[in-house]
Amino acid sequence: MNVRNDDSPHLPARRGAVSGRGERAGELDLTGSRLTEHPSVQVPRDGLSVTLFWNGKPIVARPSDTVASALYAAGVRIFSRSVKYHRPRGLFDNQGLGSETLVTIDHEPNVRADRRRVEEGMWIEAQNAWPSVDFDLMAVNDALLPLLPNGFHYKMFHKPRWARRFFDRLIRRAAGLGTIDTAGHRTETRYEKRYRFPDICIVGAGPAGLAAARAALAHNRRVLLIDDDLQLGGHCAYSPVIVNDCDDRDLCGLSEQMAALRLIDSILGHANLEVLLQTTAVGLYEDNLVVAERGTELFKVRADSVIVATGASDRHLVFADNDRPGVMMARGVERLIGLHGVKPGRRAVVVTCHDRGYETAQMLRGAGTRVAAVVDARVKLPSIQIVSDLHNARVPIYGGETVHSANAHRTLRSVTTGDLAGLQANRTISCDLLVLAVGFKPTLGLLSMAKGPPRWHDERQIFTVDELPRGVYAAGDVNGYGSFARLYREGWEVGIAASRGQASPVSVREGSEMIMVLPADIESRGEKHFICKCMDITRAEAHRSIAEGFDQVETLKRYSNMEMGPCRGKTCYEAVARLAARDTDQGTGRPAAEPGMSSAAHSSPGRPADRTLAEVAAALFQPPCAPISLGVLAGRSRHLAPIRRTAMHDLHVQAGATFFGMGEWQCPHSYGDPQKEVQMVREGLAIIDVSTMGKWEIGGPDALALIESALPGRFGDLAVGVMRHSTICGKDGRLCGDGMISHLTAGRYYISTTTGNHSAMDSLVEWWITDRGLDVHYRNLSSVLASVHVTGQRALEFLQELVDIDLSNQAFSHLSCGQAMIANVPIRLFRTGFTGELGYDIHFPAEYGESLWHYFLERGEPHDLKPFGMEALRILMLEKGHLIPGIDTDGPAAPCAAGVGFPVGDDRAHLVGKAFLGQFEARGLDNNTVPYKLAPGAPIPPDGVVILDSGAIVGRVTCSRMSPTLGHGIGLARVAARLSAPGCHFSIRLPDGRDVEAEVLAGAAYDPDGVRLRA
Amino acid sequence: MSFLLTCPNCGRREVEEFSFRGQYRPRPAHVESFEVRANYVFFETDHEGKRLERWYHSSGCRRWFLVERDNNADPRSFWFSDLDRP
Amino acid sequence: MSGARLLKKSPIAAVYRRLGADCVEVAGWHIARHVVDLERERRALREAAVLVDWSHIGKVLIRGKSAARDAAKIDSRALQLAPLTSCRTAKTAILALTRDEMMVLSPPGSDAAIVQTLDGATSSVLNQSGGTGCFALAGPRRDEVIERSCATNLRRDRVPIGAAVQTTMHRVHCALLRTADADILLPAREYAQSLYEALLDVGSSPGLLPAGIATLPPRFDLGG
Repeated sequence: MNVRNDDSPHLPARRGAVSGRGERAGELDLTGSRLTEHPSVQVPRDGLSVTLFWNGKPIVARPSDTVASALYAAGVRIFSRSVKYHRPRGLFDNQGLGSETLVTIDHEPNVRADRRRVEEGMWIEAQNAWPSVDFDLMAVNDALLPLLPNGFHYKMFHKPRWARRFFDRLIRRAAGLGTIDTAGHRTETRYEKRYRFPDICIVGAGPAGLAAARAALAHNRRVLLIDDDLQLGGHCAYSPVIVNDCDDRDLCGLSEQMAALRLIDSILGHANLEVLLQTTAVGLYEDNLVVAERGTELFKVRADSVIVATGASDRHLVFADNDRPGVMMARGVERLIGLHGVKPGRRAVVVTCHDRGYETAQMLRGAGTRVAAVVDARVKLPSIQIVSDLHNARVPIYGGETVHSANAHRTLRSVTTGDLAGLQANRTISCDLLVLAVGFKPTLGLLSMAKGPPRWHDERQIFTVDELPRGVYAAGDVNGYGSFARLYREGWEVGIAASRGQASPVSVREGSEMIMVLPADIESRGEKHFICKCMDITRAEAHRSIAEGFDQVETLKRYSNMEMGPCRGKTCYEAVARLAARDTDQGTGRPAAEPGMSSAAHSSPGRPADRTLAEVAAALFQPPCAPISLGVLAGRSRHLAPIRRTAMHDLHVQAGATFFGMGEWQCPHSYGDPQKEVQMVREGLAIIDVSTMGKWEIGGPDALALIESALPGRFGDLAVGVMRHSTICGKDGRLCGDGMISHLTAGRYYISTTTGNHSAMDSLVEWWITDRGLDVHYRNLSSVLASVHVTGQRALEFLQELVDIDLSNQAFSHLSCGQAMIANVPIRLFRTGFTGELGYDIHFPAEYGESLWHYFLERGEPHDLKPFGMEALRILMLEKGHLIPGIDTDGPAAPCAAGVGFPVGDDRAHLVGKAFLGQFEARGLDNNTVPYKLAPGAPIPPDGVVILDSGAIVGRVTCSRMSPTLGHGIGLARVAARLSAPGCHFSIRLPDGRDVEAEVLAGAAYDPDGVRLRA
Repeated sequence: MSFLLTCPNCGRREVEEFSFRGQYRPRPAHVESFEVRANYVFFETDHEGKRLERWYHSSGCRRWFLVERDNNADPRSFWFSDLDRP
Repeated sequence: MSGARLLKKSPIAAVYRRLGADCVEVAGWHIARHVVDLERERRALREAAVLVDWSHIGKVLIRGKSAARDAAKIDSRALQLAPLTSCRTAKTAILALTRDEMMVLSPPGSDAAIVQTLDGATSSVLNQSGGTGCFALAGPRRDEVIERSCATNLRRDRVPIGAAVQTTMHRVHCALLRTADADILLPAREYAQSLYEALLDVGSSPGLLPAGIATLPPRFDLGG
């Protein structure tokens, strides 16, 4: 039951075309709260045909409703309880900006009800309240928590320690809002990632965004238009204001709502335009990466240019009990009327400080709501038509006043208004709706991510982000409030600039357009002034935080948690910045004497000390702009992580092998019993898939030069048909790998290395060739060839039947290599012996993997050939004391510290790591990797446990296994040099606290002289 | 999050496609003192402004190239063979 | 059993078994003729998208300063190729991956002959036919699969028909050749199955189906 993902831009069904039979199809509207017409805006006319459930109670709604408008129309006023105080909260901005409307829908927690379209049968539950959202027992917090000190969760409930776990659990239970569905109702949700590469990405489809799209399309640019609302048009989608002086004459004289529709029609369906609705841009990153979320999809958009036209939201007003249900933002009320045809209330008081607020009052009257009063912060009322209309209608207008408190018993009953300083209350007006129309603040999230913290723009009395990086543009309300004509022109010009890659045009606003008066709120006295409603932070708490020393807006934000809630600062950032400026003495950081007093004395009402604000930046906005689920960030990652498989992988699966991961490789661990597999090798014959090894071929004129400059061994004397082991050292001389070098044919060398580092080897060899300017043919054969190792005393007898060359000890002795054929497949053959038994590496084209493996097993049946896995191989190698670089050695291992000693001559000028190789001998060694054995019957330590000497840690066990061949435990350990001589004893500490004694071996535990290898 | 880097072969790609391998400076001759050679291995110069860096296009063409990166401005990518060696 | 001819397998042989694909032998390779069923695959090719395994085609890598000159022995147009472009006939394609690396794609079974033709080349010649997988993504909705799979800008005006690029899809490195009716992906063998399964996974939304060579046999050009 998720957001509908239709790709077509969704115009509400009601516009012009009426769904079904029109008015009143289906259920009747019993609450009297539905409108089917309005004098200045078009309202939806679809009938009530959708049934949903709110806390078990059925509710009918229009298909065009959001969950919030449906609940509101049905009389619901309390949507949730706040996170800390459990105060009742109701519809506020009606736009999904804050946390008031977070509900659980169909087991999905924290859904913003004002952002979700209704669907038949939706099951909606309130959160964070018990037993119900109307009667919540936790509301006791409202009385108790103020008694606790500010930031109590940092300071209290740590002691006594024994009680701490109890408090932790209690606080954890009380914290948070929704509950995660652990019963698994939603596990089938599929989250997807999608990539987009438009020429221009426009975030925000209000008048500026639409005009910019129009201009860009006219320039033949590919445009991606993103908007987080359910329809295009931005704030014009419900606005009654008449458009004047627009550059597009077709739009003049229409209401902004109609003009927006016409503008939308003119670009919709254009081949170069893609529209994503209900899509929230959550972040803007370097090089114009926009990340946007649409329900279960995450869009990653790389655009040549990004136009941020995210508009503005209503200014937050801070007064006593400003969080009560019944207090709503002006645009929230206009949305209820214009988008959903819902009457917002019976009696309303409108608080304003600019002309546009009067349009809201007028719109309310048109919806049948009685406007009990308009309260204007300006002393001198504007001489506009609406003021006359209100006077004629006997609506009182109080100038020079603001609201002091919202009086409620769960929902609003009345408001008290009075002077701007909050000292003198003048009257109480009964109402069930208080409309805050006190200006607009830009939605700066994305711009702030692009550039830096927002700064106070003195001229426009808003925060802005200036000097945007190249390729990022801003247009529209986000630059400051403007008329439709102004925003259209700005969007158009920015669209052109972005299309041409030019600098952004300068943003212009004229005096009459700008809302010059800040509401007088932060300054006024009183209690329970909520600054950050999401996190339940009152003005008093914020002031106490500042008094404790957190007077910089960034630290204040983090200490008090303001702006850290679901609104991400969209609602409260301006109020927080103004508070930080107000309550810290001008630049000195000391708190002012008493909130409200000193400022009122120094500033004129409605125009607080601008200088202080100019010194204070708003807190930097950080992604995500809106809450985003972890699922949509993860996408299908878990399902799509790549696995590297050998050519025979599936055959191992069929044979019942268990696997383990070695980086991205899946390797067979064993086919059932590793100890038995070890015995198979020692007693006769076995085969293992070792295709994960790295394999390279180096030829060409400088092949030997490359090898000798990269590897510390000597290879000039390596004859054709012979191979040699070598370590691989880093530029600091440390051991970083090892491998076998084979001189296959004259001038052609073949290198095979252990799996662990061969991906890094690739880039390393490329680097050596590039850097030293060598003329080599370097071919990575790791994918081209698969490889198996056939080993055991019967290996020769078995392979001689299959291979077409002489494998006898005289013709093909230990460490020989060559090319041959098996069953018409060309192979490379290497007689190695890393298991300690006679063994042959067979490398062949990978496409023959399955066929050849089957062939080996078939032909090997009479010889009792069976497969063995990596675990058995590890034990076999351990019995021979072979170490694996990176596992048995750690970073600081010198080659000779691992028992691999060699001289480095002066003529090897270009040898990698040469500067250091000589140093190790000279400085002596602190640690060595040594093989050890345990007494028979001693417990086998796990890998990684420590080695102790008189209570001090002197090393650790790097690999430890039971040896079935020898009947006791063996292993490799990294241990202090003084304990590493053969015959030394040291103590291994087991996890259960016991100690087991080990003895250092002179060489391999098994066949130390390698007799079996050379037979 | 990822910015874009220009590979001289493949063009502008997400920086995640590349492996960064540190600063590029001429290697001291093997006759230099141990201190000089050790400093070359372990210490890079970290300063504001331009710096030559080695990058490897591991998820693309798998070639090494140089980037002159000014940490105050946009990077400039080019092949080794186009670098004027002293 | 010596002298028996062993079959070459595609890197997704295990997937064939799991999906019950109908396989045939082509030039010594075991390859799927169809994976789901012919009718559904053909419809998907017409209306949605298909993912076809072409892992049996010849793939030879030429690397060196004179790679273009050596590749010109196969197709003389190779000499003029700028990096990231290709020249194609219906059966053969030469991709210029970098200024010193060319990949030659050829019909199944012809790779040995290609290597023979290049004998004596100064560049390094590597027959990668078995070490590299090959998948063709075709159908009118294939872009919807790509846009769920790749963070690189593969817009058709930036990466046109004939382009040859190397990038990462679902964290698997692969080369990509764009022809008029398919995007041909070339991942390393060990990763091929992961890439195949990842594409089928994200492709379920636009209706991607796995298909065999009977639905879409290997070809690089519509002719011309």
